[in-house]
Amino acid sequence: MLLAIDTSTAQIGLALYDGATVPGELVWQSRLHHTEQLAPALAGLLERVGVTMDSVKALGVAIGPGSFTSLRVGLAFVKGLALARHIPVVGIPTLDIVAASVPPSDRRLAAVLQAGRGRLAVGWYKPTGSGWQAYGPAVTTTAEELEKKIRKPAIVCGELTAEDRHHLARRFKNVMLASPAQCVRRPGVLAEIAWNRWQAGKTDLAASLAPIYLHVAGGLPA
Amino acid sequence: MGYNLLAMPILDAHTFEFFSKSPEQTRRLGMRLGVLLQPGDLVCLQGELGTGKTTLVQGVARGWGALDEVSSPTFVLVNAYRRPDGAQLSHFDAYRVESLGEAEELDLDALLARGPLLVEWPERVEPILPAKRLWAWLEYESEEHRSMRFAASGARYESLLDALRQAIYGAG
Repeated sequence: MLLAIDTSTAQIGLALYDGATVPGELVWQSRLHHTEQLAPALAGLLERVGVTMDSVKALGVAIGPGSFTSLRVGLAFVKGLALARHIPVVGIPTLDIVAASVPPSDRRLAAVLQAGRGRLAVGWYKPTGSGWQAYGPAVTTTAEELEKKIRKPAIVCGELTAEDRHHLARRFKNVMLASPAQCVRRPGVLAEIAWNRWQAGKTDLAASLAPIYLHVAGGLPA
Repeated sequence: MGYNLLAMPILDAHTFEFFSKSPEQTRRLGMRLGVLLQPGDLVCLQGELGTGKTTLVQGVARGWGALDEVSSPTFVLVNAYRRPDGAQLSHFDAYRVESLGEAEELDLDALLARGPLLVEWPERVEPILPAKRLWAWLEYESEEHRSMRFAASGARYESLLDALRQAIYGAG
């Protein structure tokens, strides 16, 4: 069994995956309480599904971008588990999880998540025969700016507020907005990607796994 | 984005000036401000060493209801003061921050979501601060005297400043 944990943003996700099925998956919005809620939620999920941590043989974790504090909570938790139980860990960029849940298309894809103060973290993906492939680094922008940049048909999927949707819908000829339910970043999808990486032997060192932080600011004022 | 933008503002409806005759008076002003603070409120305290920033913060923490003693957070970057109801007042000293990236990683937004945030040496990290805020300039006038000027940006801070003005000088 692989345990996947995603605390990139206000949304927390937990999933158990055995290579063929997802026995348990939990997703909820937690504004501030990642630290307090994560461990009890995992205990609850394991109990409900009827397994113990002993059956968890690998870990998958979303490594960002996202919000600084929530990313740290998940990574610290996963590293603690990996080091204490001597199990391998796989870190997956958070926007890759968003992209992986979008059905194949000829269009380009903008995978997004909330980056605080009304900003969005955006990663661009292009379709290939083997799924979506990221090109260029993720950037921080706003829905308004993103809308202006989209000049060719594109899919936008991920965490979007009602206001973001309103801005992006203005460019209705080019922007195909994923529905709110499609936009949920699923820990089951993270588990699947992490499982494949684990099976391919491409695990990460728990000690050196670091979150992807998107910085908006440059240097200090003189 | 340099210091020039942050020079003393022209006095108008959204600014408020206070002359403190003693550290005790500075502390009392802080208490009156602390009582009014809500989660998400950002208060920036700009002033050189010895202008009363820490004294003002001590008053704010007491007025807000903190259980913890205020210390100058020069070595820890952020101090968190607790209240019996579980709320948190954060106190960030940007003096020793080495880059804006480092300051960003402290996640001020998360601190603001937990409670009010006080920032010392805010001019060092101005680009990453929310535009809506209360900004105070503290100046040394003489041995005991300090001048303090408060400027509000945004509706919340205009009403906060009005309430502070009323708390000090009474209605009207």
